[in-house]
Amino acid sequence: MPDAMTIPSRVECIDDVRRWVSARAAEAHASSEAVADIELALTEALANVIEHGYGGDASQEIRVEAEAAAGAFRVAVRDWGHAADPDSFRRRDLDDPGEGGYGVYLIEGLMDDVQREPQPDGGTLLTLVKRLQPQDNPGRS
Amino acid sequence: MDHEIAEHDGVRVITLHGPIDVGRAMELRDLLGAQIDSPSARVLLDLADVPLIDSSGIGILVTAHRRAADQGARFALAGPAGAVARVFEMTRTNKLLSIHPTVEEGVAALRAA
Repeated sequence: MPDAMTIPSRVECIDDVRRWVSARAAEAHASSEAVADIELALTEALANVIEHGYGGDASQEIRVEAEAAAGAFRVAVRDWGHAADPDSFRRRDLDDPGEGGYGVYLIEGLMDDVQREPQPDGGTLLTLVKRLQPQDNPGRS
Repeated sequence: MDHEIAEHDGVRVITLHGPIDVGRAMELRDLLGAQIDSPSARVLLDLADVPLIDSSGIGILVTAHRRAADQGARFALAGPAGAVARVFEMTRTNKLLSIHPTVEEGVAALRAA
């Protein structure tokens, strides 16, 4: 069973869940670079849920699960908000630096696999997967 | 947002501590707006103690850079390491922003400007 925590849909709560996931990733012997990638992708994912999924409504919940399995670290972010079409998110033209539009680009660039699944009872399950390199996991030979 | 401001040879050096994420981006925007306040302003943001910057933070820095350029002021960054340096590269904002390895080099570059 993955570990899980639930936070209110407020940007002030991102710190708590980032620290919690970071500790789980470190326990799984993820390298410091992999932990940093997971922290940033998670931060962007939570910001997207709060801003787009819940439209800034701070009274909702976000459930985050984290587990290491089969040589990878997986973080699942579940919300019950508006299922935004990621293709509709503004994406930054990297040749034209500006204020926004980097979020989805960073999530996809930092993670090895990203899945967005609309849920039957509403909302979205976003799964972020970071492969653990052999040197990330000295406990296995 | 935890920070200190010090004057080094006519350059205002803002040293930030902790992550820059969406929960702190507006505070950073206001902080930079207050410091980049005249055409003569020379402002260096020390990122050596910043472990994470997200897309909202990147956006604030791009805007600060443009606002400074528009009014004839100068704005630069110093000391990004690890994950923070990598985000500047991934977003290619390292091509736009003025980024220096150390505070000393940043101060020297801004004084020469």
